[in-house]
Amino acid sequence: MSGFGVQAVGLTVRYGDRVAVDGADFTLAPGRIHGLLGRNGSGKTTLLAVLAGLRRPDHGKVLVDGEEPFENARVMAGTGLIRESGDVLAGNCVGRVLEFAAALRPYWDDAFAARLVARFDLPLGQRVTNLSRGQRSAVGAVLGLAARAPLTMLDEVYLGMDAPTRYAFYDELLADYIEHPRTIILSSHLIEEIERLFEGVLVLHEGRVLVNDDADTIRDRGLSLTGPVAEVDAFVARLRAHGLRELGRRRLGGTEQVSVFGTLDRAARELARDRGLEIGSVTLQDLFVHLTDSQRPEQSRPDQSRPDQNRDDAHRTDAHRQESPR
Amino acid sequence: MSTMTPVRVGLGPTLKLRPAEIAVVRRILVLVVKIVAGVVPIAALLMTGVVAAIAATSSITQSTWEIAGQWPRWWLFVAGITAVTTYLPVLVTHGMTRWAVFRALGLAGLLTCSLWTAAMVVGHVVERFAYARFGWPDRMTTSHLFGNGYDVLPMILEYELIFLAYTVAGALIGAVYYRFGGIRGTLLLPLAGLPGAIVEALVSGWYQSEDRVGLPDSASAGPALVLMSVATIVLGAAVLHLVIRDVPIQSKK
Repeated sequence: MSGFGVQAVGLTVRYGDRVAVDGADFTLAPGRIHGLLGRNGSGKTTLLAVLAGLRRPDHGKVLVDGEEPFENARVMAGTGLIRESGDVLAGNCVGRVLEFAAALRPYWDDAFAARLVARFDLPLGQRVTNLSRGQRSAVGAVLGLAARAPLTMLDEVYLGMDAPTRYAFYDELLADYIEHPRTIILSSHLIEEIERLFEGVLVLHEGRVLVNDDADTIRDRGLSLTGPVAEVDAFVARLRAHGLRELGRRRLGGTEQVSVFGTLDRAARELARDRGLEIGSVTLQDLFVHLTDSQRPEQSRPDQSRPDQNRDDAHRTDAHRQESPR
Repeated sequence: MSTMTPVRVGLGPTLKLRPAEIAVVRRILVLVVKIVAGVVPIAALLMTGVVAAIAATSSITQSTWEIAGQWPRWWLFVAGITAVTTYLPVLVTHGMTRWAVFRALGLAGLLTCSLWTAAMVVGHVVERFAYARFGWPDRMTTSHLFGNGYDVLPMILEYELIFLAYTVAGALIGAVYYRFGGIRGTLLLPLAGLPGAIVEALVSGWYQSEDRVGLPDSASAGPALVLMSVATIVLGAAVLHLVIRDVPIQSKK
């Protein structure tokens, strides 16, 4: 296993009276790609800043590769955080920025950086300040990937990139990760695009850990039903009566797909198939919206003081309630 | 971490610079050498023009290069501010500890001041020989640790101390603004600027009255002034480290 693992115990960070990260407890296994999800202001950027040693926690502890990262030369040298803001000397041209990063980063790969520059079509002689938003993001992506830090964290680094560039970035990230395994944390709001990369997912909500689990395990908490509109509607109505929550609905002509939170027992699955419905997996985005939706009725909303415990309880209840919806 | 081969990581209690620190020092020095090499000839040309104009219309009674010494101190003051507000966040985000940044910027600052000192001293010496050729005096108009272009060692000492003091003052001002924000940073401005003001007062004789301006008083008190100046700079640098050693690195958003 390679890369830095992360462990947080009671991690709390405050900005004056506002609590950005509130007693977060979690572990991120080394050598995996973790998705860090959360709504705006949920504490994602603050959490990443603490892991990178950019700020000290107010309470609790965070360990990166077994040591506290703050002012820890070994851990900080092995940690790379690329933020949306882009931490480069803005007056410099792209070539100088990369050259400087190469001198600062102990694991930097020049050849890989050159390949990424070509792939993203970056003008090496142009000043970073004169680049478009998407090109600045691409510079950040090059810095983040070519640094090959054992703990690489990318915070909304692809904002402003056009779709082809974003997909090129995802491909490069995955290919390089396979060749040089390390711990990567991706923070993004573009969940649908990027979720295929996630092996683990950490969801923050209002500064607290809502979910921290394998991506597949989280996906298994929901399912999608696809089929003729009338059949899907009738079946979902039954599920709803048994307590399952609908997460999303898409319709194309006479075909409909509905995502629900919860699982079906064997009998329910057979019934669905009998009615010509296809059972598939639900997207992380739909689950994320469901999990963090603070507008839901009080009784089905996870208790924020014990998010993990209550989320599991809610999940079990949903699964239990929807036994044999016929 | 088993499959990756680091160049060199880990920080022990050593004075040896790490590759990242060397890279920072080298980068800053390359930039400063370019600036000094560009600015000093222009300043020399300007001063020559001024001297020629005065000589043509009146008589030369004092050093002209002395005035040129004002420009580097304010350039270094601004450079000190920039070092903290620009380089510190970028370097820490790129994996350097604040302590490593402090060491690298400190060494770069020391070498930058030495470069400017060398430029000033060379200017004084050239001026001295040029003036001697025409029989003009290169008298200083304000108090210094040196009296004329021949006092090279006191001249080096004075410029180095003053330039260092202005650099530290600039860095302190940058640090208090970066750490405490606009209002509190402004309130702390007089304190942060103290190293520059104190050393200027000590070395350049601000404490002296108008009729005592000149070499003798400062020169006789030289060692004490130098020690007090060094102590002020070291104290300023120590306070700078206290301010930045755990400063949160902000996002540029």
